[in-house]
Amino acid sequence: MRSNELGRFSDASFLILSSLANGPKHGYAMMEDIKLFCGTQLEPGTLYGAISRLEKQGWIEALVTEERRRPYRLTSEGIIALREQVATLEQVSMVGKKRLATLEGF
Amino acid sequence: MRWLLKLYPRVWRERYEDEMLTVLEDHKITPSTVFDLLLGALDANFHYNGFTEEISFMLDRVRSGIVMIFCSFMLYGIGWSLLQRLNDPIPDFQMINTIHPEFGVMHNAIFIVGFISFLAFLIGGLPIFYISVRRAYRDRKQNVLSSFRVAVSCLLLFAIITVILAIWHPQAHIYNILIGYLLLSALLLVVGIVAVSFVIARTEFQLSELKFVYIPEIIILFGMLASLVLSTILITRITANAPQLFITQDVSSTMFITGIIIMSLGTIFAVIGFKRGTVVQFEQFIQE
Repeated sequence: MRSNELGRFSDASFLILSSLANGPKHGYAMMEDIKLFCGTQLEPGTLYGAISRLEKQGWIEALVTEERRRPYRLTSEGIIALREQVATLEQVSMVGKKRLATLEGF
Repeated sequence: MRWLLKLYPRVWRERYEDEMLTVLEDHKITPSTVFDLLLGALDANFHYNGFTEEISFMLDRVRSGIVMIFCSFMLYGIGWSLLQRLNDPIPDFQMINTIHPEFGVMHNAIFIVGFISFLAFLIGGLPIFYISVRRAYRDRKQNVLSSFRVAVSCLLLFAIITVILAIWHPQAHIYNILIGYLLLSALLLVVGIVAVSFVIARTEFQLSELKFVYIPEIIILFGMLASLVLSTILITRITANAPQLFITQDVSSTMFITGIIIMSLGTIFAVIGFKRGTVVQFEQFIQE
């Protein structure tokens, strides 16, 4: 995976991939969805910076434009990338929980 | 907010501007949005080249298709020029034309269709050539500029030798001089064609620039096919009904048959070039 190429957009990219995991969405729908599931308000500059990188990576692909809105969907490579990121986050989360529990023990 | 998007690179805007404007129409604009767009524009200018592998592949196909059609049209042009001598000497042709008026009609039609193709060639080709040279001067691309200089030199040399021959009026060895002139012209033509092909092939184009070549390409191809069919019918009819027309000043039917063969080869290569340059994604891009 080439996640290092996502640069400062890696967080936004992960949010976009997560948002697209339950079906294709256009830009504004992604912003709304992301705000709903994690409370982060992505601005359009960051959103499209991340979209262009994800598209270049081949992790998402554009569908046919509908009334000036272009929906995007995950590619099979994107699904693999998202799975890997989720697994990493779960591991980090597990380690964090364990260490917090140890900390709380004192 | 449209003005802010102008800060993004042109390639980026061609791809994302419309949909981003739609998002901005729905989004509440805050100072944070403006700042974010400025950062985005800065980032896009540094990192976005607009060419995914797929687009790059598509551009290569379209560009090589254009070069193929250009070379094929030049080849076709040689054959077409040979056929233009069919009415030489004019009085003989006019006399036969009174008996077979369809000869004149077909001969004129071949000229007109070929000329329309030539116009389409200029309309489609000159802007592409201009973009290549302008971009090469701007970016100081020496490999493109050197090819351009070779092409211009060929054109200038051809003009100079033609003017010299027109002014000189040689009295002796006229046949040898004419053969020499023709051979030199052919050499300059070949070198010029190769040089122009290199100019086009070495330039990085945007898809939006190349899509305007699509319609002229169709007209060129149609013209080549139509004039080839007309020429074949005309030569066949003349062979059957008025073979004396082939005995012109200094040539025979061989020249016209050679012309048709050259036109056929040019048309076949042009069809291959057109098929090569017409990729599915490019058609979709044009429709959008």
